[in-house]
Amino acid sequence: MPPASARAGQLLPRLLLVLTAVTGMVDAASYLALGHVFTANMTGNTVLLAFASAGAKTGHPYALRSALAAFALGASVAGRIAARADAYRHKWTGISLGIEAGLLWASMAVVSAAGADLTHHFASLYGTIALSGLADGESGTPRSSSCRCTT
Amino acid sequence: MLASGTHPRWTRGAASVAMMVAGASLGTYLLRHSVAVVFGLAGSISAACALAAWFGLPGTSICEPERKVRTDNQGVTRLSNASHSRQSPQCRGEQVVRARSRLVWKVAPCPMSAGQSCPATDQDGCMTGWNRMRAIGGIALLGLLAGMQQQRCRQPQQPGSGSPPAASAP
Repeated sequence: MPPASARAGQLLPRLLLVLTAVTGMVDAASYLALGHVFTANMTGNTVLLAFASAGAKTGHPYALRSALAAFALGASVAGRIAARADAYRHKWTGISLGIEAGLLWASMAVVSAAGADLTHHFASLYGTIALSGLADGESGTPRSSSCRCTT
Repeated sequence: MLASGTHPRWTRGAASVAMMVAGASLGTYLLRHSVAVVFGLAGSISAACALAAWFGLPGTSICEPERKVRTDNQGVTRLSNASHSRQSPQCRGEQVVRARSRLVWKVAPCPMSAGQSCPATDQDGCMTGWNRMRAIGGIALLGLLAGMQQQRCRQPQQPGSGSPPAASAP
């Protein structure tokens, strides 16, 4: 049986792989149900925004900008948490992922309250985009800082 | 690896892609039931990961996770060599290193000087976290500016200049 430190060292990459699957799930839900907007991985949003600025018919530009702004805000909050969490990885990773979970549950509550078709409830649509973008911005910083080559 | 490269963590990258595809497939399948189910399941998995990270990860410093403090026979504390690519910006001044043997806090000067910046990519060729955030922010800013410019330059549509008019009855 490997020692405790080795098992703990293997834990973080596995957690980040599971969280990568979570980003895939959130992206699938947001792109297919929230009007062609990615809220977990921002690379697609920047490309879609470039398409929209060139006149192509893609997702709503304001929704794309909202997702980008929410992601940036979440990432900056996570960076501040990382700077103040006593320089201990398990604390700030746990706190960031806990905040992400809370924001995703809040998104679930907003979606449940809105009903079947979200695209006609603009407040719920933008609220869900903002909450899920914040959530994945929160988790993006520990994901990109603590383990290399995971998304 | 396919191009005969020497990427030491190609398995991790491939597993990351596979997990994202699997997650997207699962999310698409669950969308048949409800969007709320997808967000709820994602939140539950994140909460489980948060608990696992809180209780399972060791309390190593984020500034230098692989650094070890060793005390030699003369009582001089030495720091083992480690790469600086994973250092966060707050580590550029002084960093706090925990001595593993005695569980005391020591303040050791960071070998990287204050004016020196971290490299954009680490040894694996991946962008470091801070530079990835800067790149995404820069691209987002460019997109915002391009969108604003596009809206400003958009002229009101002249009659007859867009799609061909519908055929009128004789």
